[in-house]
Amino acid sequence: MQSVLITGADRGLGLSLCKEYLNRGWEVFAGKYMEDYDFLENLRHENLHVLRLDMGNAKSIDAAAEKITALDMLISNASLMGKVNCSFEEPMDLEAVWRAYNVNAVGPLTLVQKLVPKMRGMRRICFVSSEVACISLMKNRYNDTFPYPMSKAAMNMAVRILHNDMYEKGYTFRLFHPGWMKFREKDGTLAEEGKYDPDDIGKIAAAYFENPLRDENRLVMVDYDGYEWPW
Amino acid sequence: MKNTVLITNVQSDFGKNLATVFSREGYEVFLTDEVSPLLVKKLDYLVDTTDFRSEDMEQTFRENVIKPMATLEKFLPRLEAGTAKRIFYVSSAEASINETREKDGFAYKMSKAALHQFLQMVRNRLAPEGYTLRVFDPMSEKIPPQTSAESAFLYITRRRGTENHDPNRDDETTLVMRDAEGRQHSW
Repeated sequence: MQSVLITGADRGLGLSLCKEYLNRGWEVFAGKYMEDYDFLENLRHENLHVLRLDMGNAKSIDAAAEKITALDMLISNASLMGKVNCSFEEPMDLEAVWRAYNVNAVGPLTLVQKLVPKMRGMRRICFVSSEVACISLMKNRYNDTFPYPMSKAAMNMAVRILHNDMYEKGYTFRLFHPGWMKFREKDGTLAEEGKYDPDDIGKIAAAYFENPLRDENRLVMVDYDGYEWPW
Repeated sequence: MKNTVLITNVQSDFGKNLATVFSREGYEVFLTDEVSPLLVKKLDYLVDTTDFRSEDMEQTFRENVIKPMATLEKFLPRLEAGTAKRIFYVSSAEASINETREKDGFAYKMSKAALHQFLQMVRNRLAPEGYTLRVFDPMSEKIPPQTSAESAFLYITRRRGTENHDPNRDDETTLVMRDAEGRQHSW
């Protein structure tokens, strides 16, 4: 059985990806961070293993990686968005900048480095990124906070270096921009705000992550419509 | 009244040489980011030459990103009082996601990618108030710091136009990275 680790699986796209890969007959390791969400537990599937995983904590990443013996695919989906005050109009919260960087860029890289020795078969490493990671498209884009776009640009850079190093060694990479998804409330209903149902995006993402590409040697960021984004 | 410039990280060869060039050209030069904003009445140029290289993720990020953010925040009111309103940062073409073919050096390159994205947002915020930004690759491995400081001085103090075509056409509204030999690099 093929196996996949999905981080940030508590809700949203991560949860949808878990369901998608369970349906496809994969063994799923699901990274759980939020105590007060039990969507994962409620899936009650024999091929699902829920792991405690805090992407901002190196010890937690070590402990989760220890529990995995073999892995075909890794999906780094967890990210810290958080409404943080970071503007010149009031004192900047510089620790929020570090926290976002630590969770969104340092954490995924640490996780990949821990799990690479355990990867087999497909050897695919996937990252959920964002359009706000695109430095060349940031001009005149309205953004009320600094930390998230900064951390996502850094994550894209990490993926670029990983790709430069590991493609020749048989690893393949995916960078995916999921679009603005609706937030799922604790009772399971979808919020008004947002454009897409995470379950719909999950289907698109799962297919993009799993299917082979003709040009695996190129690293690209692709969105839910299949469009390529610049760096 | 003399133009004033604040230069950070003058311990580096590049920073030291850049300070020499600015003094030679008659600018009033404040060194290091330890200087209190109270001492500086108005600032025309903020020149942050921070370029910290290490494999330590947190230390590298704090040096290359957090400290420059704090410095900018601290001196922004002084730049507001100046006339040039120009802000300068050091980076490297190897920290271009598009261009780099390197297989290691995560901490440095990731921190600079984050800085680039910060500077895009700074540009968005400050361009309407007349601020302009510079990102510069001193090419420290390839050319002597004196040469790259001379190049940086011109890049900082001159208007950045599309020189080869129309000298009057101004290209200041877009954030770009240029190296010491005048090449422009993608992000």
